[in-house]
Amino acid sequence: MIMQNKGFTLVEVLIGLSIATAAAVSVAYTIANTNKVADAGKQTFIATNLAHEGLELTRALRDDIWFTEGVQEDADWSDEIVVSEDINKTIIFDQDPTEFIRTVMITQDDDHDEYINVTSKVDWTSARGEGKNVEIKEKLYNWYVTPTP
Amino acid sequence: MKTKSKINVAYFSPLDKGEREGVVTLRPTPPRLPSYEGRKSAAFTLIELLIAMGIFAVFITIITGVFTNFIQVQRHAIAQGQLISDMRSAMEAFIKEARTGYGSTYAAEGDAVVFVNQNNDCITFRVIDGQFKRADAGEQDVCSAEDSDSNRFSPITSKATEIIGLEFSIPVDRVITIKLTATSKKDGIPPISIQNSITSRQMEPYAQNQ
Repeated sequence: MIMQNKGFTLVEVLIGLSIATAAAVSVAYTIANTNKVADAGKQTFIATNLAHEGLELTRALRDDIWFTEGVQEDADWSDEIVVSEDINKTIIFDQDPTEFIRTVMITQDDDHDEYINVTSKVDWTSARGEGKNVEIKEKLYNWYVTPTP
Repeated sequence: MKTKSKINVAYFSPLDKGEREGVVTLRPTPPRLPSYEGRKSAAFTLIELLIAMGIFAVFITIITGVFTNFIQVQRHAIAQGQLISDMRSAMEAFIKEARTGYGSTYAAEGDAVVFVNQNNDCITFRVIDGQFKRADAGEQDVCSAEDSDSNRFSPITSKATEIIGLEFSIPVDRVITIKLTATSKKDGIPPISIQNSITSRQMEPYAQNQ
């Protein structure tokens, strides 16, 4: 034996390279993902507040109707609450319209006449271009009208 | 191997040109290449060492850069998480008190809001020195916002959070709209703006000494 070849074989080099690449890619992915998750948390936080505001304004509308217009005659009252432009307007600090779009939907509850279902949904587009949304629901009770048994 | 018999020739390589058949030509053994066995002690040459150290240095530099970046991103995410958490808890404290307070007493005075809470205490929320603060003035004949130098104020956000914008408004009776912008005192955290509205759950108008 004159000389022993101590270099790597091609297969060994390929395996080594692929492991190194996999490690580098996973680290890079983790970094990118951290950013993405942090950003998504911030957007969700803002959107949740806006969605909640939609419910509160609807509640205020209900109370306002009763305070200004008095007792409603019939128990079917969801028509009385009309979602105005103001509720769907989503402008923070009166600057440019934000990326958040709020939609408040009011429907009569199927089982109980004295309830309405309010759905407040906030849509936005994430930095990566994905469509995201937060949707919260609430039942509002017609406390001014005693339902007929 | 001095024999010149033809039989032995077959064990050697085929004859080259100029070699006579039946004559064994002894070829010189090839020169020994450097190998670890051939050296007195196993070691790297200077060139090998320099190349290895160079590759190692490049590798370490890249890895260090990646991890430094990772740590920065992580710190950023944590600072932003703390900011959101702080804003959320302050909003929660404010919303809870305003919601259970008397809607008929809601009054927005610039960057301050004042109302009578469920215990008939006069409560002010405002920003002082970048912190969201709350003051409890107890029962008052006339409930108006506390001055910012009043020592009744206590903070409801942490010192790591800086409130850079706070705006209250009363769009309709018994509703407070709050617009809050805050940032972290750590570098590089973009400010977060939130908006919410609170409707009072107290339907009866506030009457003193009730």
